[in-house]
Amino acid sequence: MKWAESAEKHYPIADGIHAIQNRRVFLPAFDVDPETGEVVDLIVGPARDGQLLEVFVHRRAPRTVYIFHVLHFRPKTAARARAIMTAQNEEGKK
Amino acid sequence: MTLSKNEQDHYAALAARAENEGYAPIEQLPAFDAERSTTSEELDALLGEIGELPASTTPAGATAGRATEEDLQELIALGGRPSLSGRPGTGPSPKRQVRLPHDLDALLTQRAERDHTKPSVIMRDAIDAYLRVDA
Repeated sequence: MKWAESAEKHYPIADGIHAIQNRRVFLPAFDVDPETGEVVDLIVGPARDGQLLEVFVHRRAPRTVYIFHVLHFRPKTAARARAIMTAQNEEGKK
Repeated sequence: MTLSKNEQDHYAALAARAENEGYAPIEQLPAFDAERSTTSEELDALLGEIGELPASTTPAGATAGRATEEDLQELIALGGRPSLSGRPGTGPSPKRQVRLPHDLDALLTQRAERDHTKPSVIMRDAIDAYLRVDA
């Protein structure tokens, strides 16, 4: 697991790692990298002090996960995750 | 951390995209593919390989524009919990019920509060560590 400088823009990496370790939501394919077409996965979990964080990770084969975004969990992130999951659940019913 | 300048630039652009919430249309998102996304099992394995991190303190962060615990619960209800088997769509995870002595239960509660996590997460991690040592 590696992290970019951008991952530490708002929080120390220790908080991002703590959020991943204690993740409460994990949503694969939250977004697509417009440059490479690779997917970005969303993790929501607590910082070391308990505040909820959103963490975006990018997996590259073989077996490397890059953390590039750690920020407080935002309403629009929640709304998009909700829309994705609702669409997935609807698709699963077909 | 050994990212090249190109990788740093690439992730800086992706992070800016995330901050600006300029995501791809949901209709264009691919279906889950374990080759393209990470999994809970993989995350746990990779986390175990991380060494000691630099000392730091958690900043207070933004005071506004935060999603709530209720938002999170809604996502969990929709199925956003980490798949215990590592993949979504594998059905409900098996459940076990155990009785604990009061003192052990109190320790479990204290640890969960200290780590801002749930007792079930601690129990799962402990069983995993115990059983997988010789696996």
